[in-house]
Amino acid sequence: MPKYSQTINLEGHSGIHSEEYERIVFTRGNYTAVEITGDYNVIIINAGCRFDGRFIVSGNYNKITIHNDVNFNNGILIGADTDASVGVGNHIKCLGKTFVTRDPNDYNDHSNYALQINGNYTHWEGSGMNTKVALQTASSKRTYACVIGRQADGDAVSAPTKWCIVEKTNFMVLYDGSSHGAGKLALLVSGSASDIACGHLIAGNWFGSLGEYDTSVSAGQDTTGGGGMVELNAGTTRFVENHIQPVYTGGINLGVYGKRNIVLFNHVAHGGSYGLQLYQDNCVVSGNLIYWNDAKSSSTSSMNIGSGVDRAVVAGNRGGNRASITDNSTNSSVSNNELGAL
Amino acid sequence: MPDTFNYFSHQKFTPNYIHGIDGEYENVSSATSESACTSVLEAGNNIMFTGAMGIIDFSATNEVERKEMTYKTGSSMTGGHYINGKHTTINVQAGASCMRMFIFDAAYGSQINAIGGADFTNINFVAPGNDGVTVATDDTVGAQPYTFQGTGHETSVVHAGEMTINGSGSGDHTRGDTTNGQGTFHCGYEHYDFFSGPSDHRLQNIDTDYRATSTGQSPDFVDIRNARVGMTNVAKRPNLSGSQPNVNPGIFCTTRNGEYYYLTNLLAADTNWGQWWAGSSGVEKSHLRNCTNSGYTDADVSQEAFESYFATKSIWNGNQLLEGDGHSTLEMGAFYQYRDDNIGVANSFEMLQLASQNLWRIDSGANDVVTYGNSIQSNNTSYGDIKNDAADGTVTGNNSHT
Repeated sequence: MPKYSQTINLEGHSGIHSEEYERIVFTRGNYTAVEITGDYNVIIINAGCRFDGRFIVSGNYNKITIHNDVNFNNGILIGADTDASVGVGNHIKCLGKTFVTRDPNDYNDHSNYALQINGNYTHWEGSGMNTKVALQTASSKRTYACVIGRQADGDAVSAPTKWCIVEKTNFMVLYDGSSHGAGKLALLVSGSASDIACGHLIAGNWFGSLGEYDTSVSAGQDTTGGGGMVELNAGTTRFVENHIQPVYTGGINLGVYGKRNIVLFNHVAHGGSYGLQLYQDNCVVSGNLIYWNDAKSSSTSSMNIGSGVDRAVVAGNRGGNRASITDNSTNSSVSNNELGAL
Repeated sequence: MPDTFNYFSHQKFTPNYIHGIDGEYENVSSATSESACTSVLEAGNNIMFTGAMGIIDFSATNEVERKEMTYKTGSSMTGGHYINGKHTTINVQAGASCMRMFIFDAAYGSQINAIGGADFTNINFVAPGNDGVTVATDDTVGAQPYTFQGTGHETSVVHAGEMTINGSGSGDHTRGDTTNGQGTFHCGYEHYDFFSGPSDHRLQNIDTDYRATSTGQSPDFVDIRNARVGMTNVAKRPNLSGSQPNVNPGIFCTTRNGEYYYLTNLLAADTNWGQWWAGSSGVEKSHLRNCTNSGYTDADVSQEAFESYFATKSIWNGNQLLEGDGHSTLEMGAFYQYRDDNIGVANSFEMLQLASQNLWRIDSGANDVVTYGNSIQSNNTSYGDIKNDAADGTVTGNNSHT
């Protein structure tokens, strides 16, 4: 059969789609659970579509374009829950207002993700701040808005997910009004893979709902109490030109826990604990603006480099609050940073 | 949003469009007038245009939110387009041409996507603030940004004409075309653009169908990326008398007192320009990244290149200012770290015709800035160096040479 020989219009047709090399259009309306198991399809999701069940892409090399005002109300999984070799090379591109979340009524008892990227070579391309991936907290449950290489049971995928691009998206975890839950992150990149060259690129994203600092957290505000905003646990990850700005936070805004990570030109505001914590070797942190609101303690450094760190480069950053970096590392170059209250 | 609007309740087979698949209207080729287009737009989302369109006022659809419209390859927008529904998305395919301006008026959360070699004249994102950064637990949470997203330098935002509006009241008052231009991306009405020129040129006087505008209309949260920008002759900008400042558009973006601007991967090659970034000292927390200006601004004394202000907590990194083959005389400086706590790191400059002002200046009132790892090549060791009047930041690791 010639490739791309037909256009398959799916009007409210949920379920499994195993077509290959076709043009598949989600035309309109509400869908329940959908799984794309086929490969090499061009998939269009029309404006106004709603996905009330989970949207899963377990096929390979599909090109998915999401038009304006599409909501994924029960999460997206790219790949499989425990295997990075499933659902590889998919490109998901958003064009306008996109909203990805999970229904708290469907949370499991452990770890809950709105956007779960497990397949290698996944390219998630938001439309900018108009693409929002948000979760609400729930009592005694973990809520991570986006994870790369993470299983539903909370563990890392055993063979880590590699070579993903995540860009131009606004991630956040929102306080549900009653509980901060049991651990929160706007983005968690892999885990148990700090020594492994994973090669992810995290660029041009926003973390937090981007309002100004507010000490009185209320429903709908960002909450990272008991957690941070972003954790990079994969080795050789680039975190470039992102903007972290929750309106409220009790945790570390940016944790750099993978070897050879590169952190450049980010704007990190409103840190609750350290703005940036660096705990692995051979990382580069340069050209970042890291500060928090004046209401925070002036005794906490904007940046913290752990005692086990060897050969870090931390240069050319503007750090707020305390006029020094907490540096317990060895063989590092920590210089030419401008520090002190903003 | 009006209560009567429903995405999935479509009209079918009106004279103005050919019905495609459900939920999607294709080949809207006969919608050449405002009335024809607005009648189509009442239908719903996913509307595709293939014809030539005159002036389109989408406000006639009662500010319907969350629409999406695609201008397909070969279509042309011969008149201005006015949009005021929130979260509107416009897709412009390669080969489509927008000959006059887009105005997004309080259409918070709206976005233009250009695909490949799409062609724009001028884009205006206007409205004060951000309509509130919401803390809802639904899809309205967070900031509601204006976004322009091209695919690369093949996407063009260039006005072909000169800026002939002037204080005497002469000139063409139409909405910007081959005889009138307004810069590239305008974000606000205050002083910098033709909307706020002499009274007879203001928007509400040009066409009473549009709402009257006032000062202080710069939005917060604007994201512009991946395009080639240009304007023909900035010397023809409105030259207002008295206390009014001249209209002096930035080649990449013009705004005033908005916050959170993200300008990324923009190229101004061989074009006239007044400033890179025309923003006031109040444009805080803005990011200028990976932008390049290569050659040509005229040495005419009436069109000096002027300093681009970088306000509090801004970041500018990875930019290039290259002389190229044209005239690039800088008579009034170029980059100005004007407020506290901003960062200029890893930028590269090549400017061999510095005239009388510094390429890079740090204001005496700009405390605690970081200026690190930049490279400057120029014809003048004085003007080509970083002039640091603040002296309390970290200004080091830079290379200035002739």
